[in-house]
Amino acid sequence: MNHKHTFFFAIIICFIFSIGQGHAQGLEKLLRNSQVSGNFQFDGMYYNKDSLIGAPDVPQKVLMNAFANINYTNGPFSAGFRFENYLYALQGFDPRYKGIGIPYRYASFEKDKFTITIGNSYDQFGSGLVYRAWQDASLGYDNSLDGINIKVNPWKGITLKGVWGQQRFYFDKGPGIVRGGDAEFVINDMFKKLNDKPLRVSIGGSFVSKYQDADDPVFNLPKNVAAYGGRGSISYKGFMINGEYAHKINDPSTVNNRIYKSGNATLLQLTYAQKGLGLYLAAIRTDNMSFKSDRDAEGNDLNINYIPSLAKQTTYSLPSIYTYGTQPNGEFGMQAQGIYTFKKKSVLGGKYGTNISLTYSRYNAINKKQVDDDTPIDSTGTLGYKSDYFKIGKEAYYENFNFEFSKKFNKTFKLIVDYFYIMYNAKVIEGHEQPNIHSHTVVVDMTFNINEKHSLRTELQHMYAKQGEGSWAYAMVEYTIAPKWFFSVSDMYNYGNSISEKRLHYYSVATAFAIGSTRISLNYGRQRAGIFCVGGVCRYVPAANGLTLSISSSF
Amino acid sequence: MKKYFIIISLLVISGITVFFSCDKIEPPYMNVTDVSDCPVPDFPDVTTPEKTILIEEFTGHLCVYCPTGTDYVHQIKNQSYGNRVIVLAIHASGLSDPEPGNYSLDLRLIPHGEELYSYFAIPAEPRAGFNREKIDGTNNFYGTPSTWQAKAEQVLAQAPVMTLQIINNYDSATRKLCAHIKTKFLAPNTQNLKIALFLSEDSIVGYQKNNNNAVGTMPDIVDYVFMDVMRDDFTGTFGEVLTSGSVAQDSAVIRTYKKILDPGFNAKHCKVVAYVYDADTDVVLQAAEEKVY
Repeated sequence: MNHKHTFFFAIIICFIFSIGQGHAQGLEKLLRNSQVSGNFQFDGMYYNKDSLIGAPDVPQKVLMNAFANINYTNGPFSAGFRFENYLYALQGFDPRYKGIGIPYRYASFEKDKFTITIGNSYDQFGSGLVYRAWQDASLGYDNSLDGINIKVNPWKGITLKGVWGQQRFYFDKGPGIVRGGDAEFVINDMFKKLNDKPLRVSIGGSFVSKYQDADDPVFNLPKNVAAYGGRGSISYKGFMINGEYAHKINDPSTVNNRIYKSGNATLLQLTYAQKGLGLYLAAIRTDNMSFKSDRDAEGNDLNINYIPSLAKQTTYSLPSIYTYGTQPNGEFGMQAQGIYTFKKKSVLGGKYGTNISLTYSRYNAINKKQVDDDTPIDSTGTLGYKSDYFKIGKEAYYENFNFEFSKKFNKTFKLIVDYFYIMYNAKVIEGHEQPNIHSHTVVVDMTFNINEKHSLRTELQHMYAKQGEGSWAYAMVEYTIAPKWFFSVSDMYNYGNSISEKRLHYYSVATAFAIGSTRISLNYGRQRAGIFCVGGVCRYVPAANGLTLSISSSF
Repeated sequence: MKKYFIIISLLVISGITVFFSCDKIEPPYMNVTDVSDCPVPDFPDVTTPEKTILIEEFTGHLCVYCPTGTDYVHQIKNQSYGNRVIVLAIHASGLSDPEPGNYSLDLRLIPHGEELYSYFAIPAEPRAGFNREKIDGTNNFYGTPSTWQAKAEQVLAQAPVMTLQIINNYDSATRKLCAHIKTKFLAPNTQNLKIALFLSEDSIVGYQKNNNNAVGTMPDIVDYVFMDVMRDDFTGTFGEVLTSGSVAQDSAVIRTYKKILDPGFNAKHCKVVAYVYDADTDVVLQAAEEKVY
């Protein structure tokens, strides 16, 4: 355990109790208003040897990830920490997650329109194009900022934020310092006359600067790199349009091959919603927009900003094989989505209504040209390339068309049918030298509610593809006895693999038991190698065969 | 109102201060190392080009399986492959951390070792890569010892696509090392190629954990001789661009690198290790090593 962290909490706890010891009434009041909450998660896996699926040998045989959040609140004061334990981390998580410690702890209070947090904090400016500190345990992602975070609402409709600190880097901190501020003005809230107007307007702006020492004998490196952006949102009844533009000055890094070009990103979103109908149109263009607090960091390490993904996400196993991971060095993406609900008691709606949705998303490269005739694109120590803002690059990265039909036929039967067409550029997204993959997947998801306690759900999926690993079939049966028991059996079969030895079954048997807010689950089976993504952020998951035990609880 | 005006003013001033905390760099972006005091020698012709192999061995002095792994590597090296096998022992991860007492020796090259360990998602030691070619049937570049011999034979059976030579000039008085490299393409090439240069050191003696009495005492080998230890770099972890775009057959690239040797290194036991790899696939095309003197 990090002794600095222990010391930090000892001070807070002593402070709280010293108040109480001096004043019995104060102590009673303190205890009355106190609230402690938290959650715990354990995932452990026993790994079997399985050379057929390419599962790497695990010398420790058993690996585990575990964490617990403990939060204390007392009126305007709150404090908490997260205990983490990786001995050693599960396969697919960065091996630098190793050991036991408290890498996340904070104390916060609200006073006079200020909210002041010391220690680690998570926050986001706008859509995150210049700053987003967030955490996702399933990704092994945590870039919380250790320092100070101040938020103030000086006037109704105005929110100002300031952050200053260093980012978490596994059980350590990154070498760079991050400083930033954000201002948001909700115009309608600022002026009483506009409070109830249907036209609502808000604007905002943010800036972030990072500092990292530089003592490189070869490169003239900027020690301070700033990124800044502006955003606006207008809504009128069911319509809403919002946009954000961000710019970053020269930031030569390992990710961009140490080029000195400035970066920029634009995100535009248009939505329309009315009863039974939802439309969404969005576009994003990013150009050299990796922004990390360590210029030598790679992968998901020490990201200061976040580039949202407009690719359709799904939880279904087969279409999830080909999930898009955002490309911070440059991409042009768009998504169009329409959702329609047929009214209840209409011909197509039936007794319970019918939902259909259509989604199309696509990503391409951005246009890149040489800075001069003699300098190849992306050459180290140069401006890298020129890019025509309105030209889309020829290389397609990803394409996804999805149609979903969802209908509850009666009290006992619900049906979801999905079709996915996915084009996946594995060379860009995963770094594998192979042709683009074109896949067609059909999913049939049926739920039978046998009675109030017992339900049966089944998923049948088929993916047709000539490239990559070829075609797959998947079947899953899930039986739930609410609220305590859950059983499932599934198999993914790569029957269409062009290499006959790789036409393998990835079977899985699982059960779970819940007692109140505690859930214990056991899973035995195979896991295919691939990438796992959340919101465009991905990690590689190696093939595995074994028994997984998971325990989660909260209070 | 006055209070809020002051607050906003302060925040705006703070914001402006931070906002202007940025360094706009003007060309030239790189300080080209002055190698005018490193005259380029004549490289001899390579009459019989041969494929060479770079073995990147991830190891650590606290890793009990690693002496066995290193023994495998040395067996491969000592087979009849002559100087076609180049080894770089990368001490990385917690199993290489120095500890108070017997294990205080620090053989890590920070941050390069950790960066390679992380980049190639090494799950544990010992692991070794053979020209960073994928282990058959997996997506991994690095395999366990049981895969090494076969992989080495498979890689060495390939035809070379280029030659790579190193000539070192070392001044023991000033510890100045000039490393000259020459690559010559044996066929037209369109890959994006990078070259990486490291300094390795042999014959460093220290403690090593061990669980195999066939290779040494258990549980500690007190006078373990560490060989091929990655000690310093010339080009950063991932090297620098060698060629990008089309290169004609028989084209040659000659480069010179300079470094003052760290006083902690025994120059007599040091070697310059160079390798050329495909920046898109990471596969090493050719490697070479040469003693400092």
